[in-house]
Amino acid sequence: MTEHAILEVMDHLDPALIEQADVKKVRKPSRPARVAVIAACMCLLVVGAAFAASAGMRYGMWARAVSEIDGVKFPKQLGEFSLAGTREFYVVPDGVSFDDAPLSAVYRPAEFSYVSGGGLPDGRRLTVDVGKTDPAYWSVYFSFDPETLEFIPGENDRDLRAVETRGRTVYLYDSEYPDGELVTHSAVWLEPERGLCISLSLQGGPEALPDGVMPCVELVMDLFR
Amino acid sequence: MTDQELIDLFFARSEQAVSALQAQYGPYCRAVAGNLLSDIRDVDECLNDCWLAVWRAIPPARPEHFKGWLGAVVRNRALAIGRENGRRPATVGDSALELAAALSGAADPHSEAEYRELAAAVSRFLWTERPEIRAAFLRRYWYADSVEDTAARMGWSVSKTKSALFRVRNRLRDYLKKERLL
Repeated sequence: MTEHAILEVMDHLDPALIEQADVKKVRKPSRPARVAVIAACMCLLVVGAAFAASAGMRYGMWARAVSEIDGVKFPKQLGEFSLAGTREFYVVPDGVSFDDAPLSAVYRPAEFSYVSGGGLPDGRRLTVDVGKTDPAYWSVYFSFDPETLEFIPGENDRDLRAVETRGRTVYLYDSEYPDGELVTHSAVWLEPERGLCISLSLQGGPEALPDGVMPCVELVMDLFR
Repeated sequence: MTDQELIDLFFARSEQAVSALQAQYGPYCRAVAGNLLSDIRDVDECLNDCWLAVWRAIPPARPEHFKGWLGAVVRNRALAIGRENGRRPATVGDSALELAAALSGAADPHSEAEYRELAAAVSRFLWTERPEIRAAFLRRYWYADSVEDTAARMGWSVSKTKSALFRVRNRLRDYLKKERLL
C-alpha cells in the first residue's frame, strides 16, 4: 500500500478515536518508594504529589486504612520488622474528592509499612507496595513495560540488575535523590499466578543492609505462596 | 462553551460562530496543521480554509464527535496543501511509510467506499487495543508526531515507543488479514 493511500485511510478513522488521542505530554508518576516517603509524611492525603513538578496530567492519591489485599493479610512481624501501617491508595485525577475517589480511581494499590528498631529515627523502614496487574494503570504505577513485562528504571534509579529466585525475576535497584543522598534499596517483581506486582523498598544507607534486600524479598514472597 | 452550543451557533448562522470556534479550538487545529505543514504561512492558509469549510459543512452536518471531526477536516486540508506545494515535515512521510510497510502486499483502495471500509476496520481494531497503545498509534500515524514526540507525550522511553508501535502494527496487519482486507 502506498504512502498516499495510508494517509487517505487514516483520514477516514472514527472521529471519536481522534479525540481520545489528543493527549497532553505526561510524566510518569513517582515510583512507589518515593510515594511511600510522601505518604509517610502526609499520612492520609497525598494530592498531586505522584506527578510532582509535572507539566502534564496530574494524578493524586487518597489513602485509607486496609488490612489485606487479594486475601493476603500481612503479618504483624516480618523478620526483624514490625508492622507500622497499612493503607490502600486511590490513584485519582487531581481534584477528585475523597468521597468520589472509590468510583474515580484509575488504580488501587496497597502499601504495608514496617519499621525496625522500635520505630526510632535511626531504625529502618521497609515498605511493600502491592497492586493488581489487571487494571491497565498498573504498568505505569510500577514502571513496567506492559508489552515486555520488563521493569523500566527511573531517572534517579541506578545499578539495576535482574535476579532469578524462586521462579521469579526480581529487579533490584537503588534510588537516589538529586543531592546524592541514598534513599532506598528496592526490589520489584511479578506474581503472575495471582496477577500481582510487588514492590519492596528499604530505606537506609549501605551500612544498613549487611545482607542486601533479598532476604526481605523472600520473606514477602512466602506470604503469597 | 460546549460543542453542542458551538454547533448551534453555526446552525443559527451566527457571526460569532467562527470566532468562538477559533477561541475554543484554534490552538488544537494549529497543532494538528503544524504537525503536517512545515511553513507557518501554509498553516495559516490551512486554518483559514478550515474555518470556511466548517461554516459550509455545518449545517447540515451535526458532528457527534466535534473535536475529532474538526481535526479530520484540518488534517485533510493540511495534507492537501502539503501535496500541492511540496512543503511538509519529513515525519509525515516517515510515519505513513512505516505503517504502509507493515501493510505491504495490500493494493491501494480504488474508491471512496473502499477507503472507508478499510478505515472502518482500522478503527474497529484500534477500539480493541488498550487506550495508551491506541493513543500512541494515533499520535504517530494520524497526528504524524515523531517517535520522540510520541514517546514524550505518552511518558514512555523512545525504545518502548518503537517497540509498542512495532507490535501494534503487526497486530493490525494480522487483524486486517483476518478480516480479508489484506
